[in-house]
Amino acid sequence: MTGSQAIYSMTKLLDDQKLHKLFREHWSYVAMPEDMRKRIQYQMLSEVALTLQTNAAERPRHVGHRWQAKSLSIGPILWFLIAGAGILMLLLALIQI
Amino acid sequence: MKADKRLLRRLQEGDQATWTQFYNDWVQPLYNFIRSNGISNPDDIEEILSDTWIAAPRAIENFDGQNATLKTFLFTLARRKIADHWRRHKPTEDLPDAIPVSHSPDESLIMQEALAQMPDHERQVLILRYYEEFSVSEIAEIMGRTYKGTESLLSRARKRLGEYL
Repeated sequence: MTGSQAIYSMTKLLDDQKLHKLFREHWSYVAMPEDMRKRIQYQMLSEVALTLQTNAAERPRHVGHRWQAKSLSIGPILWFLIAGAGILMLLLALIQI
Repeated sequence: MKADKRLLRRLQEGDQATWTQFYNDWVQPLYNFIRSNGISNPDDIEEILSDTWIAAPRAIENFDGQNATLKTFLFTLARRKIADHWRRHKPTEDLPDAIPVSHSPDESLIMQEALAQMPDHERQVLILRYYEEFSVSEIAEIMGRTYKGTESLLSRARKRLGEYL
């Protein structure tokens, strides 16, 4: 039986089990070059450290932004003043009656 | 499937030893995955692999691990970087090489040639399913397809592989 026939006999039904076996036994790749592995590992670890530093630096600033945004929000204050004026006018009208 | 919570937390905390281990576990399969997309130029492979690993520390901050494993997370990230690569470059490169397994060189060569003739996405789905041993739903996540679409692609790929062999 030739190599091709042997594989074909394994795959004519092409069920999952046979294909797992086929790939395990007959498919492989070239190994990754070691210098490439080291270069990318160095870049990745530098990025991990940088991400940590950036997050640490950004955390207090975020809090500051949120506080600042809230303190500058005039919408609720305006509503409070309008509602207050309305209640005051209503009270004055009731006193006059 | 859920990610290993302890491992995920340590990665999110930026633990260098955990990242080194994580890298050593998955860099070769990712290298293989990139090559299986028809990318054989070493510079292109390094660029995609590097982009993937540089993006990982940021991307993992938003990964909750509830619906996917860390393996799926990494392969999905790599698939996005491969898509970015193809947007920048036309797909004119040669198909990937494989090393024939020493005990059965003829059969391995036939297998390699059959896979090399297949369209990229069909070869990729077969390798993810039968070499990397992902489930169909994980492959759907990685390839950005629906479950049904992935099943159908897998079925077509199986049929074509049978024809080529």
